[in-house]
Amino acid sequence: MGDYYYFDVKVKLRYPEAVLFTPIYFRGCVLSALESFFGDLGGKTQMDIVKCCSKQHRIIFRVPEEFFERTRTALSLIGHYQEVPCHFQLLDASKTVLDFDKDNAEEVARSC
Amino acid sequence: MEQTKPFYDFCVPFNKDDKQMRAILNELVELGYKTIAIDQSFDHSKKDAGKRGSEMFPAPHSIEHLRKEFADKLKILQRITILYVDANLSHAMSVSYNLRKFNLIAGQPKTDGALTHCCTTFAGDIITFDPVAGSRLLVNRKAYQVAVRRGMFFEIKYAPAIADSNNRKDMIKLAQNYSIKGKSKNIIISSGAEHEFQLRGPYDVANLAFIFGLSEDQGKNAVDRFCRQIFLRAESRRLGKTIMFVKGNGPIVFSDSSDENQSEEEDDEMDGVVTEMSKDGEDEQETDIKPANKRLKVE
Repeated sequence: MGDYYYFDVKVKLRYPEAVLFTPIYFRGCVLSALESFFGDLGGKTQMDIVKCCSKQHRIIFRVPEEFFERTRTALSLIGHYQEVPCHFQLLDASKTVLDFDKDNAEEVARSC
Repeated sequence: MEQTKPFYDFCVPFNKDDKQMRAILNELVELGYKTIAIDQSFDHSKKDAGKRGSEMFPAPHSIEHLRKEFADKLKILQRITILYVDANLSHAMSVSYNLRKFNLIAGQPKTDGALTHCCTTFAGDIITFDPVAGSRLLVNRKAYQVAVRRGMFFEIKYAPAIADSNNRKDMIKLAQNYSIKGKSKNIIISSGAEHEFQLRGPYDVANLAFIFGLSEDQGKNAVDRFCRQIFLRAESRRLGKTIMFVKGNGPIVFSDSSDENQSEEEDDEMDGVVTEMSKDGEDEQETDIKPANKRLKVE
């Protein structure tokens, strides 16, 4: 378990209705950002989606520990999601498994 | 002393559209910034030659309504960025009344000569670069060291790096030059964001510092401690010589020691105090307290 870093990310979009938010598209966006910033090796980062809430544009994913810094940097430098200005806001990053907030977990689960 | 709270973003470009400005300020609040500076650019090189000598710098934009609106959330400062090519600026800056109304002054040199001038004699606080043409001007080691010794800070903006990959390369090149020439001393990172989606949280910015060649400490200081230093330096430059009132809470007050008789009385009084303290078992402190007796009076 200690080999992975977990990210809790919320995607803020200028036009939320104009994009299709799915785990696959999200993964593709992050991996292409990693590749453009850190080259082919960056693009080969192993990344697993743990949870996703399409309505809240929120996602939890994990990467191996050695890719933590470059993934965080790439997340900060992403400016567009499907050509819409966006901000990948990092809500939390941890070595332990993350989940959506316990208080609104049920609400999130229902909305997803 | 003027209070400011971390975190800091010292470059939020002014926008005439109040709605856009509010959106940026709200986002800054949400991300955890407490002290920000609204930036206003002024191109000195485009100024008419005939107007030189008189007041050439613009007055700051009116942002009182924003200050009131965000009074308990943000401390909003005003900053001017002066773009210039020659050293004729110094005299105009020294006589300008409008310039004193700004909290921070930044210089953005356009030529190598201006860059050297900016590092050695510019009467401002921050040296910044045009993110588009910035990498053409690279500071040399000597000028960098002089600037650091003078307490100037170099600014790196991260929003252009988000907006365009070419700008990103330029900013990284510029930042790596700072790292090579001066071990990235005196560097602050600010946003320069045109809209709210170009803003990033302070911890993300500190992490971004890695790609700019800064260490972990330097990254954190770039959005916190160094900005506080700039603010204090700028305040002292604005205020010049000032009178300070120091208020003490204890029973000891400062007295005029010019009257010899009075000072002798004070000595006697203090001797009494010292004796009392020594009785309490703190004999070691007696020698430490005695030299200050002539200046102290116990009520």
